Amino acid sequence: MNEKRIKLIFDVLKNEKAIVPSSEVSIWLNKSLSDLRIKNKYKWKKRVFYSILLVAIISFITLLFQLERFNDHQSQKLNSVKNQTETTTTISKNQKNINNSTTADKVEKHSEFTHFKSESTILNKEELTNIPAFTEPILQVKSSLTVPLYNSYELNILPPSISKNEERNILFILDSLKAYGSAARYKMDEQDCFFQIYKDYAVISFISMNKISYASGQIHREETQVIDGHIYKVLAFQIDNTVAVSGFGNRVFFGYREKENSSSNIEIIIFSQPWAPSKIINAHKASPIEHKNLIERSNSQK
Amino acid sequence: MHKSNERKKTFLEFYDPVHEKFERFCKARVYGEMDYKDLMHDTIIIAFQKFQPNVESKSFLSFLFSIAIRVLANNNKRQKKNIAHQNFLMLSENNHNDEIQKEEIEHLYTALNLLPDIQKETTILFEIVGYSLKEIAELHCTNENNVKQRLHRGRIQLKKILTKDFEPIKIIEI
Repeated sequence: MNEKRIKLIFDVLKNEKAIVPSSEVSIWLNKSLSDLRIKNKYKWKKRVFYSILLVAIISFITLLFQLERFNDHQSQKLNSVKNQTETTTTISKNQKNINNSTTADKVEKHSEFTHFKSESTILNKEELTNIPAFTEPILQVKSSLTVPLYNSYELNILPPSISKNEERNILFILDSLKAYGSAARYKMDEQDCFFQIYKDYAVISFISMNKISYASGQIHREETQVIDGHIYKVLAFQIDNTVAVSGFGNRVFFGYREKENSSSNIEIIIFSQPWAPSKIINAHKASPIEHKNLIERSNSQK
Repeated sequence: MHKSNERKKTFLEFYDPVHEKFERFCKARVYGEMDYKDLMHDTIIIAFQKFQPNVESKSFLSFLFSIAIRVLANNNKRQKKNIAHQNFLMLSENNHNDEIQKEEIEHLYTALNLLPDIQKETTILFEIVGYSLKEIAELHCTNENNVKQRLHRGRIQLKKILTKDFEPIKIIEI
């Protein structure tokens, strides 16, 4: 094929008529238009769907953030309460040191109510006049707490139905314990087992099943019950975390009566619930020596 | 709806005068790569979507060519299938001058297909579509001298291919 021939072919091709009619192009465009409309229709649907999805995701993320913030707030609140309580405990200890009015018998023991480390407090009989300065501020601070240390609920200290002015000031050393209705009696260690009431605050520490049980709190209920023909002065208090956090919020129901033959011996009855007796404890009034020993023991453990 | 029809009408007003040129370009450019009708269709659909009625009618054909070149390039990436047979069938539909054999036209297209893309496009635009050197230079974003050079090289190559004992290229179906 020579150059002339090539030129001739190009000329023929240049003047070639179109095979595809213009009307076909119009059909293509019509189809394209309808496709475009469908596409636009779906595009709107898609947009609405994605918008809803976006809103849902944003809501979910916001909710998560809110939840996170709420949790942070709660933990901060808990920490502040913890710090407040620790401060309170420190203040009370300082007051104890300054006034020398109270002694703390620090004993690491397993409570019947819980199994946390606990401390017992023995009020100094010789410094009774200073005790209100020790107990009342603590109780006031505590009653203003909104969140307890380890408990998920708030301790609502019940309004006491007893008179604070009434002179209640007893300290007994526990001798033996037996289950209610049982004859078996177990001797107790006088060093760790005692029962004390001052005004409207009660402390009881005893050994049961080889465990030292400890409870203290503000008495909110006081009445008289006759059990097995004996008249008991029964009391109720709610365990606070003044000294130990163990058993926080639990209710303790107990009663005591003086024995017929001796006013220095008492019988303490502990109820599992009002007023179902569970334990009977024999105790005697703390002698000055025993009192002194308790204080010395407390001081030595500080 | 009315707006769409108006748009379509305007597009066709632009397209109708360049229809033959556009088809010739597609037919020559796409030889051995895809069906030229497909290329025309795809190009026109894209052009219609991107069409701005305020465009100059003079540059409309260049607008179509640029889209066609891109469509073809994209298609080549996707598939390398050789469909020269279909082109041949389409060629046979046309009633050419008796002096020109159908085989000769096919040989020319085959030879064009052997040229580098830029030379091929330049040759097609100048010899078949009838574009001026200036128009080709604008389309390819270059100057006229370069276009001249490409045309010259393309002609030499074509001559070399077509003047020797030409053997039709064997088409291998993949």
